[in-house]
This record gives sequence, C-alpha cells and structure tokens, in this order.
Amino acid sequence: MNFQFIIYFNFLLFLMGVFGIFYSKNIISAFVSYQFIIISATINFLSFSQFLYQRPLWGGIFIIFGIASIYFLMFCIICYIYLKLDPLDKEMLYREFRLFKITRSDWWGEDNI
Amino acid sequence: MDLIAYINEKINPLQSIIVLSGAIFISSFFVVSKSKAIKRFLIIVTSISLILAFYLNIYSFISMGNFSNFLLSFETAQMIEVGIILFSALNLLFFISIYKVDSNHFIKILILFLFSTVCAVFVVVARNFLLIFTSLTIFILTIFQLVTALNLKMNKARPYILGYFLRPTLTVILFFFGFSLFYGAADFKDFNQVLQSEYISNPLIVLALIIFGIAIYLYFFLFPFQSPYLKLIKRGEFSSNAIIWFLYFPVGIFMFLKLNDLYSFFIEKNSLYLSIFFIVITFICIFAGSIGAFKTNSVRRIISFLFLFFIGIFILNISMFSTGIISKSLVDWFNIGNVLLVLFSFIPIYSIFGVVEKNTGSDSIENIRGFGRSNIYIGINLIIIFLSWSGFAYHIEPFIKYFNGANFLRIGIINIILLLAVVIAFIFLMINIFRIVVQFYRKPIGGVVEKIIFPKFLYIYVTFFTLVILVIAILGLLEVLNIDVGIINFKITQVYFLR
Amino acid sequence: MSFGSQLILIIIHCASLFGLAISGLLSLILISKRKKLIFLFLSFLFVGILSFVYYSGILFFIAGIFVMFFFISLYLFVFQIELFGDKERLDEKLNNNIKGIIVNIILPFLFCAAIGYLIYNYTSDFLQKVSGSGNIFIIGLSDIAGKFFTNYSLILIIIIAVLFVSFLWFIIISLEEK
Repeated sequence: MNFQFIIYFNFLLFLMGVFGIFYSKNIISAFVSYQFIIISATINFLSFSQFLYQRPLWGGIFIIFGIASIYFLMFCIICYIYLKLDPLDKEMLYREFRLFKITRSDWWGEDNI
Repeated sequence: MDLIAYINEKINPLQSIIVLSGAIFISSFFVVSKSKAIKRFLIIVTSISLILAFYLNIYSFISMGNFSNFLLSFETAQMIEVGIILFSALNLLFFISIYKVDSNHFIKILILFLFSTVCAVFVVVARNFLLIFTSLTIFILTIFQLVTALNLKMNKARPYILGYFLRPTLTVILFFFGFSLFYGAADFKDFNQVLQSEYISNPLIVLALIIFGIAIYLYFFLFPFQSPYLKLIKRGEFSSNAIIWFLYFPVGIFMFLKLNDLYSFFIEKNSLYLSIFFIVITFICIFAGSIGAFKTNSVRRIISFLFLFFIGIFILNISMFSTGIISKSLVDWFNIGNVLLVLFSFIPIYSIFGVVEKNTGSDSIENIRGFGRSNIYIGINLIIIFLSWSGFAYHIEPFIKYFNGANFLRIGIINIILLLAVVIAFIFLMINIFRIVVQFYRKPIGGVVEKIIFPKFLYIYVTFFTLVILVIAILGLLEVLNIDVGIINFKITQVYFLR
Repeated sequence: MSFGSQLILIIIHCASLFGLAISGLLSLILISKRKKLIFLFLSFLFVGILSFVYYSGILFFIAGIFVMFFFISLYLFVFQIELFGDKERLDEKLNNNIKGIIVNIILPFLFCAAIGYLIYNYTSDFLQKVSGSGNIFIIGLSDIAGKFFTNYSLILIIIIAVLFVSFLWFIIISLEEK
C-alpha cells in the first residue's frame, strides 16, 4: 500500500473532523467529529510505526495512553451530562448545540442571565 | 539526616508532588466526614503541604541543581513555574475554604483540588511527549471534575460548563494529532530533540506546530472564541471562577512556554507575513478585551475581559519578537513577568469583588459606588493593585531603545504599527482602571455599600499583595531612574535567569 | 511473505480504509442520532481491522476497553433522550434558507478544501522522498507490558491515581446535594 496515499487519507479524515466541528448542530455531532480527529491520529501512529520504524513500540504505547486518557475525559463529560443536567438542558444539547457560537454579548454589552 | 538526604535524592525532582500526595493520602481517611473541626484540620494540613512543597521545590533546585531524565526535566524555568503553580494553589485554597467549607463534599473537593495541583506540576516538569500529553489531558479532566463539583448548586452554570470544557477536549485531541505528525517526522521523544535536530524544518513538524498553535489558541478562549469562557464566568460559582483563572490558565501558559523555543526558531527568521499575522491577532485580542471590559457593567465580565487582555499580552510579546524589537531572553522574562503581574493583581481583586458580590447579591458595577469612601483601607489597596497594571508600560522601553538607535528613514512601518498597538492598549487599560476607580468615589446608592462586610483575614491577605506590589514597583522605579540604593544586588529589569 | 497473503492484506487494507471513509461520512451527514452512533461504531470496527493490518492488533483490544465505556455512555444518553423526550421538541429544524446552507455547509467545506490543498502542496515533496523500512514487527502484549513497567511506570501511576480520584468525583455528582 502506498505510504503517501495513507497519509493523505489520514489528513482527509482529519479535515472531515474539522468540517464536522463547524457543521455540527448538536452535541452528538460534535463528539462524532472529535472521533474522526482521534481516528486519523491513531492511524497516523499505526502507519508510521509500520512503514518507517524498526521497532515501533512508541506509537503503540502513545495510542494506548492517549486513547485511555482522552476517552476517559469524554466519558466523564458524558456522565456529567447524563447524571447532572435537567431534562430540558439535555434536550437542548441534543437538539441544538454549536461548538463555535458567537453572540453579541460575547463582544459587547451585557449577558443577562 | 543521611536517610533524608538519600530519599530526597531518589525522589528528585518530584518532592513537591510527594508532599501533596501525602496530603491527599491523609485527607482520604476523612473523606466521608462532615465535621467542621476535621475540615479545619484538613485545611491546615493542605496549606502546610503546599507551603512545604513550595519550599522543597526551591530547596531541591538549589541543593541538587538541574535534573533531566527520559521523562522529566527540572531546570530554572520549571522551578519558577512550579513555584508559581504552588503559590497559586495556596491562594485557591483560600477561595475554596471561604466559599465551600459548608459543603458536604468539602473534603472530596479538597482532594480533587490537590490532585489537580499535582497534575499541573506534572505538566510543567514533563519532558517526554507522552508524559506531557497524558498529564495535560488528566489535568483538564481534574479541572473539569473540580469545576463541576464546585458548581453543584449552580443549575444555570451546568450547560455552560460543558460548552467550556469541550474546547480543552478539542485542544488535547489536536495535540494527539500533532504528536502523531511529530512521530511521522522522526522518532523524537521531547521538544529539545526536535530543536537540536536537522528535522526541525520538516513539513510534518511545521504542520504539527501550526496545529499545536491552534489548539493552544482554543485552550485560552482568545477572540473570537471567547463565548463559553465569558458565559461560564458570569454564571459560575466564585471558587470555580478562581480555579479557571488561577490554575487552568497558568498551566496553559506554561504549556505554551514549552513550545516557545520551537516557535522562536521560525519566528526569529523575521518573516514579514508572520509578523503581520501576529500583529493582527494582538490587535484583536487587546482591543476586544479592553472595549468589551469598558462596555459592560458586570464586574465579573470586566475582570474576564481584562484577563483575556493580559493573555493577549503574550501574543504581543511574540509580535515584538517577530519584528526583532526584543530578544528571546527578554520574551521569556516578559512572559514570566506577565504571569506574575496577572496573579498578583487578579487574586486580590477577585477576592475583594467576590465578597462584594456575595454581600450585595449582584455583580453590577453600581454596587461598588462609594466603596472607597466607606472602606478607605481596602479602597486604597485596590487602587495600588490596579495601578500595578501600569507596569505594562515597560513594554514601551524596547521601542524607545530601538528608535533611539535606528536611522529615522529606515524605521520599519511594522514596528511603528506595533508601537501604536502597545500605546493604544496601555491607554485602554488606563481608561478601564480609571473607570473602576471613579466608581469607588462616586456618591453611593443608598444602603448598598453598607451591606459589604469584609472578613478580617481579607485585610491581611490584601495587604500582603499590596506590599509585594509596592516593593517591586519601588525597586523597578529606582532601577529605571538609575538610582542605586545599594541594599540588594538584584536588578528586576535585567533578569535573564531563565537561560 | 507469499504473494497471496500480501494480496489479501492489500485487499483488507483497501476495504477497511474505504469502509472507514464511507461509515465516517454517513455518521457525519445522517440526521438520526442513533444511526450516527451506529456508523461511528462501524468506523471504529474498521479501525480495529486496520490495526490488525498494521500488525498491532493487540492495541485494538487494549484501547477498545476505554472506547467501549465511552460508546455505552453516549448511547445511553441518546437512548434516554429519545425514549423520554418530547418528540416534537426533539426534531431538528432543518436550515432550508440559503444563508444557513452557505454558513453551515459551503463555507466550512471550502475552508477545509483550501486547507487540504495547502497541506497537499506543502507535504507532497517530502512524502515522495520517504522510504519505508519494510520490516514486519508484530506488537505483542509482553513487549508493551515490558515498556510500560520499565520506562512509563510514572504515567501508569498517574492514570491509576486519576481513576481513584474520579471515583470520588462520581460520588459527588451522583449524590443529591440538599
């Protein structure tokens, strides 16, 4: 398999994740987009280990520790949503949640609670 | 004594972490207790452990010097940064003790707080990529757990906590991708190896550095991504805001300083487009921070915007370096000076305004009208602390040196624009300070200022910060005016101890 | 390695990359949350197959434990909302106006395409010159365990400590504070 093709495929996955982050309208889509960036990084590590290095343990160890810590963080976030949020707030996250939202109050004036 | 020295040598440079872990271990025996006496005992144990960790941090560096191995690196810069984190943690203990001591989960919160401090220290002393990444991710996790635990009763803050913490989650995911690109370039395990190798201009490394830069920009919630940060600070509980300002942000700054050497390699080449890029971002951050602070009447939002203004100063330092006005060592000194300025000013300011908001029920700027008339002592302390921000004027000094030495016809337009940015930023900062100070001496709205009762400890607490600021200001002023008092040999304006 | 087994590896490699791309695209585009998660899970299975193609199958099992926890929690959340939520409130309002389509779809797509083009131009020279090692090294559990406990025991201690501390956090958020 062509090494160059795999790298460009990984960048494509990464850009799909970035597109998903801008496009996502709810929290599930946001998490799905995050997964693409993680997947592309994982395949980067695996493909670099396979194609470039003699004893590629560093990539594997980085994947294990990296995935353990990132997924535990995301697991705790989901647990918090599940256990602590009001049903209305959960529905709001489920229905409409933008990662990058700009409102007037973030630049100017008051933010009334 | 030999045994202690032997143990000290074995655990170097993790002495501070071992001490804090000991405090966590002691606290874990009392996890389910709700007794006030035990809470007070554990506050004392935690504060002693933080002070001991701070002392051991400096002592171990002085007695054993630099330390470096496969995973860790402990040099001058790390010693200072760990000291800043421990100092910050000691102050955060004050906030948590004041606002959360009645909570049923106080001891668990204390353990979470100590563990997040331990993770912060790991981020600073880490050298290996894997340790940096894992400790950063776990630090963000512990901060998330701490903020959620502190905001248990704040129903309105909960969705905004999520919106806030999804950004640092994206930061660590981007870091994961960036480290995979580093792995593709060469089998490096730390940033020094990258810096000293021939692979530093490798396209994969450059791409990884760009991704790291974007990740750190998102981590700091700089403009135009400031929305979740401002919304959370407005709705969050007092001690959780303090955690975000005085633990989350400093660790991000120290993470950025780890990458600074690599970025300097590219910025030093004085590329015009890179300088323009940094100057544009500097303008956006500084102006948006100042104008946002000026246009709001909420004290919390004023402090939040001004905090982002000071984070933008780090980008200003990079801009000045990119145009060649200042050298690399001066950038490091400006960065550490900025961190210390932020901590020494914002901690007492927020401690006072937190009490004001708690007593009056809202964070409107109208609540501090006439504050300086009824609380003269605290008013004067606050004015001195606000005026410490005028130390930012020291950024103009390199420009004066540059323009004195340069041929008038050859002065770059870029440098003039940058000087304009610094001057306008300084003016905006002074306007914001003036606006708040004027509020202190306006005629008070009936019955509001009388509600404000400060605990006696706060007087001593704020006085300490005021004294430190006064001492540094006087020493700095004497150096600038070239007056040699002869008391100490230490020169503030020429501190190049980081290299 | 025989030609036949090499061919099989190439076919599995291509198929898993293709499957990953398709399931990934579907999970991004589909509106139904359950289908998103199903296709996301499929894409993870394809990543697992890829890990075997890259002789690192053991990583899939070790990392998969943590991924499973995340997936179960995410699916429980979606399931709870869909079962107990108000159907009318949950339906996503589709942005049919032109401004919505431009801002939400076309601009990000153009932005990502531009970045992809820049990355391709910048890295193509370097990547063409890269030559691989060609050696096959199958990662075994003993190799990983050896490295963990010799070089990276500190990181292992940190992760175990965070599990203990997180247990306290779970107690805090699951108990009602009155």
